[in-house]
Amino acid sequence: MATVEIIDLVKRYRSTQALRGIDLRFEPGRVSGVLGENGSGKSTLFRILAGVTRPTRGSVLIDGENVGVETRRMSAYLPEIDSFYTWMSIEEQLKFIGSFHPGWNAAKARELTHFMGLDSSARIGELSKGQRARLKFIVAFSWPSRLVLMDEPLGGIDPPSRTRILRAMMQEFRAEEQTILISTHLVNEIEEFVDDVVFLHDGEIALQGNADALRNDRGASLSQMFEEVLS
Amino acid sequence: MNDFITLYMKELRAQRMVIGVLLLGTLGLSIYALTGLGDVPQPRLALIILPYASALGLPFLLIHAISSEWSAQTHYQILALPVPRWLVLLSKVAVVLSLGVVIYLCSTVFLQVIADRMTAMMLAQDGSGDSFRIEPHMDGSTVWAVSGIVYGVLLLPLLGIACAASGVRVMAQRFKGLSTLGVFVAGAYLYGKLQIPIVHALEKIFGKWELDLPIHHGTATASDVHLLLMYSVLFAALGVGVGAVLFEKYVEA
Repeated sequence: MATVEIIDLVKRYRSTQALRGIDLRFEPGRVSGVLGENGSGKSTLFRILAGVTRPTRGSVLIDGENVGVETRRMSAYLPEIDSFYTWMSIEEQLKFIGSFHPGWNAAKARELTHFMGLDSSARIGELSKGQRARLKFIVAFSWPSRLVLMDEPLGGIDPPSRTRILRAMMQEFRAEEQTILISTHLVNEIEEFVDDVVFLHDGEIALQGNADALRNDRGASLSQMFEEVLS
Repeated sequence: MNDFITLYMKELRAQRMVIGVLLLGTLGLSIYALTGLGDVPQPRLALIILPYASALGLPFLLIHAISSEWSAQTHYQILALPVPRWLVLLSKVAVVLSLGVVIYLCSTVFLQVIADRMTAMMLAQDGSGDSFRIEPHMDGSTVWAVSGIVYGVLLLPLLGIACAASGVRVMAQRFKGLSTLGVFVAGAYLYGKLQIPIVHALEKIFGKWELDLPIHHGTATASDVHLLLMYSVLFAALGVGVGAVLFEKYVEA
């Protein structure tokens, strides 16, 4: 069974259509890149998968269940926007989120906090944008969620640290069988980590498939495909 | 239950500044009124009534508690939690209600102290030693019952309306301020319109109370104030229910 199964998903805001009837499947244990320029529908897709936005039409199943309380229990969603409580300390924020997830691993959260070079007693309101971005990774990988939804997770993190952090997350901190979806327009940063890719353009799927197969077929890197497909 | 407590504690901390200011204000006013109690009742004693007026402001604290999640963009986090949305709303209602109860308890303790001291002063002036001759006669139970009923009748319907307004706000795509105002006006109208038939219906079930009013001690009066309080509780429950359903059904990032 696919971790995520999307059928004819449409999301319409008042005057714009963010998603125009897309069909997608994300298999267990795979890392998928959802790539597209600003306004292509990536964030809307992630919000719907996280259950914070309702689709206008279509069906979304996570582990065979319609999006709701149960699917939110098995998903770690990290929006592009900073959604942390600025008056909390890092430790309080992690404890707050962790209390809703029985599988939360406080020791792993501490290890990740140390890895990210953050002080757990620091107030979130006093963190830099890059430090808050690192905190998102801690939230995502401190428990063995079935699905990790990371919407533009690299924004704010200095370029030299991006690959180091992503590599550590994928190789050291990721739980087994965890399905990871990363949306970004920084394609070259995630190129080496993704198994599958979906290119979104204007709310529609422009191209999708296995990353290696696409690279072989087209003789191009994902970054080059991004330029081609979305131009 | 654990999820509710976690949300409740989070909300309590999120609103700690407002809560602190309101509680300090209540304490300050009460102490100021108490220290004004000399040989003759001072005009500043009237200030002891002011904290009860917070019942008018608490519903707006509820609306603020909800809208601040959106303005701070923390709604992405709160809506992604594995809890029903109505539980989020309920935790905020519970915090505002708790604050209302604490303000009531604090104000009424001071009110009773003042009432006792005033009675003692009037007794000394009267010279008879019979507290039942003193008017207004304000014994402890009367002070607590009357202030509690008035406070409840004022606070609960407003809180219910604020809840329904919060639900309508998340449903409304535009004109959120206007729709909030509309719900408050419609809610107040509905509260007034339904009051007589529902209080009559409740009277048939529960009957009236024999109540000694403090101003006219000794004259037992058939009162329906407890029915008015029951009606207010029911109306508040209806408002919270409407708000919870709308919140569950329509809230989104």
